[in-house]
Amino acid sequence: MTEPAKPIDKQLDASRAAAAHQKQWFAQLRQDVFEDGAPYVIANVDTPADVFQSMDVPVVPNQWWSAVVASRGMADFYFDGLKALGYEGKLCRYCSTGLASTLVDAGDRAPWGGLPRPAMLVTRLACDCMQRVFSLWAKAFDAPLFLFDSTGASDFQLRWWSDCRANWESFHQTHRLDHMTAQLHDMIALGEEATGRAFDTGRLRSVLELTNAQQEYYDQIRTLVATAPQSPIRIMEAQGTSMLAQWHRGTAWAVDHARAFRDEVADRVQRGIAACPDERLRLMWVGAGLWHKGGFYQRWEQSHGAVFTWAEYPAFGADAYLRYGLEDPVRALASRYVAIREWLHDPPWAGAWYAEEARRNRIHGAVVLVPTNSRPSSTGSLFIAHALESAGIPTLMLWADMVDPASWDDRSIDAQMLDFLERRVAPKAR
Amino acid sequence: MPAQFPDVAAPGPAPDASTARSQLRDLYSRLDVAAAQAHSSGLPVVGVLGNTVPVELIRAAGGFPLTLTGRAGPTPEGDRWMEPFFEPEVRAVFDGLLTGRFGPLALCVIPRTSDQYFKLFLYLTEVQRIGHGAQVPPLHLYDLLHTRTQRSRSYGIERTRELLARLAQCAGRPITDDDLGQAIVESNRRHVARGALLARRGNSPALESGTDALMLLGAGRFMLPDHYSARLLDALADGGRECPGPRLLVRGFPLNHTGLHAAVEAAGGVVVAEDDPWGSRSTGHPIDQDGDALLAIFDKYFRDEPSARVHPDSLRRQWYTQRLATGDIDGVIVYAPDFDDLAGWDVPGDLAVARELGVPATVLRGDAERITDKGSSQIAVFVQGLGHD
Repeated sequence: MTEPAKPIDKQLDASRAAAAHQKQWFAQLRQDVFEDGAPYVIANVDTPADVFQSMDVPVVPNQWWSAVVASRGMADFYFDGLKALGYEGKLCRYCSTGLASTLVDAGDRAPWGGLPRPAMLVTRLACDCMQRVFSLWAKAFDAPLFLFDSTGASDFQLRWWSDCRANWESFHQTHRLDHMTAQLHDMIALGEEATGRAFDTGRLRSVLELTNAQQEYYDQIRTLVATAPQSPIRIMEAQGTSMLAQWHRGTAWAVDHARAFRDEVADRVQRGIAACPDERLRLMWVGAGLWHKGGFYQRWEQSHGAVFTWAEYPAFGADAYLRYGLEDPVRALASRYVAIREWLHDPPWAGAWYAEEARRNRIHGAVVLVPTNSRPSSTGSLFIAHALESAGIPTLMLWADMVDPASWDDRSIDAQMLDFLERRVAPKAR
Repeated sequence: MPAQFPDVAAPGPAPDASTARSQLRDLYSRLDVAAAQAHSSGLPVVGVLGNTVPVELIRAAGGFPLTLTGRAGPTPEGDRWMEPFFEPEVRAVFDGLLTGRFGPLALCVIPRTSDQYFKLFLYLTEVQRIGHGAQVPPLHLYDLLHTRTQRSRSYGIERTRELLARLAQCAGRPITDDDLGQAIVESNRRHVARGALLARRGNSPALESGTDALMLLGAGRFMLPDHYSARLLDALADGGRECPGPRLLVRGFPLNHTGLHAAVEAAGGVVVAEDDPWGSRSTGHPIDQDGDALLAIFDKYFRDEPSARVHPDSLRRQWYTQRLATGDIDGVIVYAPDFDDLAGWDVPGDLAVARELGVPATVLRGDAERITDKGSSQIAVFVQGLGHD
């Protein structure tokens, strides 16, 4: 078993509030589910959890649970257990950590005592292994499974981050949007059956309105960070905080938290507070957070004045989740999920977005995490690097996993970062 | 400018069995020869990836459907854009399309049936967009979905109509039901010819070696169906050659090469069945000739073709389970190479099925195309331990 991950040095009240709420939420979930037998759902992050939010059914996101397992230093234990069960080779780590925590008995070391049986599981077939992972998981729980087909785009509109907020109907190919909408109705029907809770369109609309309000605050936060002379916050702290709150989107708490978060960032900007007063180099982090190596991001502040000032969240929340025009809330929600994963990883959408964000945030250098044990999270990396380099942003690719500490070699990573900062980023910044 | 698809040429005079067999082996082994011969047919060549593109539509349009594949080797152009963890076949095809290795293709049809194929489509589209894809042909994504719901079937039928329209545009003429009907008849003749080969493997002892069977089945991916069917029947006119030894079934990552089969034969065994589309699953059921032609073609690919998309696992293992249950398989090799991130999820279940049916099984993890001494030794120990009479 590895040591629990060293956390990021937190500076924000918003982070503490999010962590406290998450702890409280999970305690409540355990109370409701264990004690009272209330239904809950396990869902991959690229599926519309908002529906369950509107039905008052809690959702445990697969990737959040992976992060919980990794941050408690249990990833190695579970991966060894999977191997002992015959699941060997380069199988996806990020998406299967949760499955491993169910298949492998960790006794009283299981984080939070382990997940109980969900009412149903939901995933999207954006990559082949999702079907296998979730089928095994559903079988282990003897719970129903809903699979969203992932249609393929053959029309490539680029500026999804700006053009899809209001004009989503014309942005997507109609047959793809139709199909996702129909699938959403199918999932709702299964969800009602599995959870015993009724779905209400008006309630979903309210949830999406609250989601929009939350993301609008994130939009303001990302603008504050991009335009401030120095970054007022450590972006990886902001990413962790906004991702935690993102799991609760559609609730009044999430809106209140996002507003307080925005206020706190605005206050820091107004008072000239910088996360790192010696900020000289602004770095972009492309990829999921290093759940097992939180201290990595601050490591370069003192030595090089190199500060990570951009990460996927909160920017992705604003750009991918906002949906205006909620007359048909199911269809509006479907428009968010037609291509959400592709936007983040695949050409042409991902590279175009990262390059745009790098320009907007005055980035001096980008670090792209390429997790070789999670192909869905790492395909498109060379195109992303190309797009960034073409935009004049020096780019370093780190080949390591976000949840599997065995793939991380401190000495090698440090050497790459030093070379990158000193030979490529610093001269460029000058 | 759309390509004009001329009529299909008739097959040439029949060679003797030995010559026919050599021709098929040669086409299978030398992909450059296969591509050159496709172009020499005079028909517009349409590249297809994998086994889930309805090639009957291409035939109905008067085109030559050429399966684009590749085996492990240097891929310098592709390496610029494609991460090293992609499967060897996908890497090779990507590199081949970037460098024009498959010749001038009228169209390249890529199915959505695996994630790697979809990424290949996106990567090719992107290199074109950013100005590095001068050799890349026109592309078409055939968006066959993964679930088997009525909803995804309806979606797939519409995508099939779109593909048909695209091919009609290439052909410069409408594609009629008669065209489709003819293409079905052609495919079913190929099905019959392949069936004759599979019957030889079902014999005890097998009348075809595993390596030859794989080459003879696979060659059909690079030929016009009627030419292939005729050549295959020519090759089978030799009566067959007895291949004694333990009879093995291979399941797992699809094999577009004979490395594993050769290693089994070197160990004294014979592969008589593969649960993959290059081998025994290249036939499946014939296409219904009585109903709506387009729907019949679609349903063949929607319901009958093996691929990553098949769900649930009981359906994915149906053929494998039934084949083992026939009782004529002495051992199973489950192939889950290091570059795989999918077949590995099926390994414990595959082993459990074999165990339940009393068939010994082993898991091969190394790359069977470049099999190591350790891999050969593992296979030899396994095969020799099967104690076949």
